[in-house]
Amino acid sequence: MKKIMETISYLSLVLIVAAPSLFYAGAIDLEMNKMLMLLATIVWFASALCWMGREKKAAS
Amino acid sequence: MTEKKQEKHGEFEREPVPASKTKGLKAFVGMYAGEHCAGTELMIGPLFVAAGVSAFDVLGGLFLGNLLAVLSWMFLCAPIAVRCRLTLYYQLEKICGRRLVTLYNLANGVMFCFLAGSMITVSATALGVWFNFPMPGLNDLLPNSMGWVLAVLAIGAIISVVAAWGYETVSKVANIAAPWMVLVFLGFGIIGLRQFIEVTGAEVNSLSSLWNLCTEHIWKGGDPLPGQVKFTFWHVTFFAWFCNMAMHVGMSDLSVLRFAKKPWHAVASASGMYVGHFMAWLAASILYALQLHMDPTNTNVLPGPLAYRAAGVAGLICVIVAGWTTANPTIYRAGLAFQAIMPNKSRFAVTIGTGLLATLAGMFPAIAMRLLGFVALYGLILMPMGAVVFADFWILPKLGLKQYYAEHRGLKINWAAGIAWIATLAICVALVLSGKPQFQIYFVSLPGWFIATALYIGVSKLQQKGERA
Repeated sequence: MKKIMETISYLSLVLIVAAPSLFYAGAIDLEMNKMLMLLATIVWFASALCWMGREKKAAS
Repeated sequence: MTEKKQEKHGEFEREPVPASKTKGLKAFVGMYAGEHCAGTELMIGPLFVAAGVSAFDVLGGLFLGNLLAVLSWMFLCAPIAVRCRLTLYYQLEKICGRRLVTLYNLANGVMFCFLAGSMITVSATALGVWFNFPMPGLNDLLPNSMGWVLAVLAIGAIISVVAAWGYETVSKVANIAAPWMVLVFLGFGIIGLRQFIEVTGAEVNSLSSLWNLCTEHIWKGGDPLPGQVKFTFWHVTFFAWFCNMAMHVGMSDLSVLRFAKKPWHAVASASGMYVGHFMAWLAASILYALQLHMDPTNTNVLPGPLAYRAAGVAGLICVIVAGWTTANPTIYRAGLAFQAIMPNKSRFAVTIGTGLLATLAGMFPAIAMRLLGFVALYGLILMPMGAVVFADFWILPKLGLKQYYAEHRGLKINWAAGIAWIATLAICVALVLSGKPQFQIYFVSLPGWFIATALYIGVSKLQQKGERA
């Protein structure tokens, strides 16, 4: 489960940069870029909360 | 005290960090990258554009200035941190005496409050987009609407209560937000660049055409906006070098780098400098340059609207989170500094009081809109104590003089350090007030460091006349 959440988190980070890059390339418009960035933001916080803090706790 | 007890009462606040608790390079890379990608980056980048920087000056100046900052961490701060492994406060107490450290804590706490205030200002600009109240302009010094005052008050109150109650939680959120925030900053730059290409009709298909876009439209140089100081290559270089002067030359990061295994691990500060103080500043400056290009009369430096136009709600969240997560530890640190002065007051009460002071400061846009000057002043005020630590550690023993003189003699104030601090500040202020361009607030800390070092050595020699090291 943790591995899946980690993968989802990293994919959302990729999307945070991919959306502006696609906008730069002219593949999407600004509104679509804003929507994708918001989606990536929500996914990042939702998924990262599941594993980021816990990893350190386990280590300590 | 045992290691366990020390950890319980803070992190080895009054004894050296043991070797078993030291950390490797990796631990510092993430910490520096997160710490230096803050809400204030969204103000500083635009203020460079308002100061009329040219493309070469801003790119070259940031590259060199950030390099000098990293070298300052590596060769001034880290070697002492790793050899002594003490906090700055404890080291200063041994050198300067408890009373002088109290004065230093007061200065530090007040500056932290103002800095946190500017971070609250940044977050409040995001609320302005949602609630559409009038926000301060570039040259406003006072709050200009009830909506603005209420927005700052609301954000400041939440941040203060959270800093007092749930510091750990926010610290966790800050860690989670850090990688996302860095990439959103990068996104701002990419989006701004594309929008520039669209509005100017420029064709960017090579490095030279990109450079043309930068020089002709983004960082055009020329006169600064009314009320702003013109920034040249040297202004940018010195600003980038000295904006964290309190931490490297001022030795505040002794407390952080005492956990480093090797002095060269301070190279990790490059992650903060080149992510936060290079990429983030440039990205934010592109958004502001675009705003000026679209409407030259709209000179307002408001991170909220800038971020919203580029990245929508995600951009607004970034502005709020960037301001919040960085204001929170700043208020906490200021609270710690004040608590050292009032040890009988509870941590909660002191942090709430500190937060309210920061909130009050945040209501006045003067600090955020004059952030370039304020940050330079912040470094200048704390720098002389860094020079004292440097001279005490490296130079005094070579001259046969006693190190840690206050501890040695049981003094409450070591006047050599006190005179070095106060006289350096007085001389530097006089130099700034002379109005000579080479002594602007952005540059004066460099001669100031040599003045402080010389004064400390000179007065120590007089003070210790007839004593043996």
